[in-house]
Amino acid sequence: MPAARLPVFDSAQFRFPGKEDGFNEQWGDAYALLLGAHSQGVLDAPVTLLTRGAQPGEPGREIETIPGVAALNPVRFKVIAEQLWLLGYFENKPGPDSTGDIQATPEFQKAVARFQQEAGITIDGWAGRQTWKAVSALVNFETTTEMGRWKRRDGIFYRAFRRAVQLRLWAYGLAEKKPGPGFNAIPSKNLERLKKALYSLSIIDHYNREISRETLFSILFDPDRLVAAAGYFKPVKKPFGGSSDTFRDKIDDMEEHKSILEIKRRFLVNLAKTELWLLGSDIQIDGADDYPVEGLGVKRTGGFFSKAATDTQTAEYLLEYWRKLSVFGEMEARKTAKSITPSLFRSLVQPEEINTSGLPVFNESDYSKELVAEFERAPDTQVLVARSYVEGKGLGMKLWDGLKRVWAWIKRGIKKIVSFGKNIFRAFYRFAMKGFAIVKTGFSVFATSMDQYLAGRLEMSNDQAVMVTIKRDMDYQIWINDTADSRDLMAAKRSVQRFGGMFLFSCKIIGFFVDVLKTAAGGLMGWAKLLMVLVKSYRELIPAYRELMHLV
Amino acid sequence: LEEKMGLKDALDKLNNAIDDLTSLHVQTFTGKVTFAREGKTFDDVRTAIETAQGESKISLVAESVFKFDGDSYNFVTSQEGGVPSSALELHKASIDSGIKTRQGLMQMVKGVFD
Repeated sequence: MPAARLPVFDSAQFRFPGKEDGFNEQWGDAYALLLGAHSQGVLDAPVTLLTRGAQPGEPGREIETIPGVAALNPVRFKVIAEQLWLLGYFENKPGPDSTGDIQATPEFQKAVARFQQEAGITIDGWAGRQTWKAVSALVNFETTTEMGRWKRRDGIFYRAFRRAVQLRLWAYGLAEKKPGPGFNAIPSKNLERLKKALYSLSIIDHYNREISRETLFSILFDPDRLVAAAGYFKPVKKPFGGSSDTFRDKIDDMEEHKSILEIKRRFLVNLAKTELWLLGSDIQIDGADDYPVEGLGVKRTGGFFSKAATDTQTAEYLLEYWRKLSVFGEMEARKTAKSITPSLFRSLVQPEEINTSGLPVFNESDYSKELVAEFERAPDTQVLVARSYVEGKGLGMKLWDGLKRVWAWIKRGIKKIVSFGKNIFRAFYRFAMKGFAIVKTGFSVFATSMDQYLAGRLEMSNDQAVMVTIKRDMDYQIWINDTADSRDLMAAKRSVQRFGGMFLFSCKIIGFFVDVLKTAAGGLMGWAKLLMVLVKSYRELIPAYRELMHLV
Repeated sequence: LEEKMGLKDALDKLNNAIDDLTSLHVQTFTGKVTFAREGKTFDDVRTAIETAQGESKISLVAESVFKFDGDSYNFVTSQEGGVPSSALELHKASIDSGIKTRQGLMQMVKGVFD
């Protein structure tokens, strides 16, 4: 367990604009906390745009970037390094203590440049937004991967994509190893296994005929489809039902049957592990076939239902899953957790199957309030917040991957998903990160507005035609030249509206943030105070932020 | 961010302006003003406008004053066919924008200066 400790907050190192500057101490506190958090990389902001009516992480919603809040910070660099290792661009896995400083190492820059080259993007060795997006599309389970994007003009898939295929095959137990530095092509036997796995789940109709790689890969990169199909898996049909007529044919059929059965079981075990990982557990994704699957009783080393199998992490998290996330009693939970069943996959798609139905629809920002209440009820809130920080920082890819799944449960009113794995810390840290991004954006937009105010005129697309000057007391004078036409006037109108909106909503964000900081920190100190305030103000910040995002 | 948040001067100025925000005044002028495209500063703009005013090249075509005690004053010229509708829309948008800036300041002051 990592020590629940936040970095030291030393207010003395920041200059507080205080009363002598015309500001009160609360403003100074907010200003210093935010600057300090930014300069020390306390929180990384997920760069997501909250489109109108969308909930972050909501299935089916495109995650986009916020203009102006582009800087990737330490958490992201660490995650990118791990993702590049998974794709085979690093020989060794980055250590748990690696920091954002990794970005400055030649090894990292070389790996990034090689990835960029193999992914068909601009090669500069810098892990910016484009690289982050490309790596995520290949490695994250919940990010949409468009097949067409990864094909070169000659119809061959980019090597970075081929690496991602091999990685996913390995994660699902269909390849012996993940891609390494010398990776080039996906071994054909791995693709044969994939075909058999998909055939065994009735996703494709045959495995011994040609199927386009594009079709196979598009299924492989669609975990929702795989899980939905796994919800109805059955034992493989008995052999001898085909057209074989010789004894040799029958033996071959039997061997084929065993081979498919083994692949199917291995695939289901690892699909279950992956889903448990995405839901928030610490389970290792390792491709191992180490857990019983209902109805697929081929003996393995250690034997079916062996002690060795039930001692695994899979056993631990399956039991936690059924105990915490279903209405089952202890006995039933234990019984169900003894093997991987179709009901597990069905419940992942439809949690209502194993939970109380008819629950009220739940809203993400409302949930932030509940989370705050839960933290404040804890005997030592400061320690809990500090632990959320430490655990949150250690989540790596899970900070971005798996959220759609967790959110799908919360939206259905099944809040107990938060009690699974480390989700409570994940949720708190995520809200704090997002709140931080919003407040930073608020300050940035306010500063941009102030630039125009100080310049004494609003930015216009054609200021030879129309000029809008702004006086110190925020009165306007509009100067329309004889040369102006209606398009100039409409453009000027939009500029004026944009300025007023940006000013209003950024002020709202800053005002609310400062207000909460001043009145509702609940005796917390240092960074813990900032984190709590960000989560606490999240719900109220969202409406102003959405308005702001329509303008910038 | 630090650079962006280096707002002290702006906020000082704004802080001093808050006393004057009890009214909103928007004026729209039309006419012939030429601004040099290169090396243009706000003072250059101001000079160009003042020069144009002095030479009677520009004229006030719309004016609105709103006082927060409820008084208001609106003027729209009727000379030479009045004001083009798109210019009036710009004038109205500026009033709305001016109201928003005041609302924004109220929101921020609520948090910062309470």
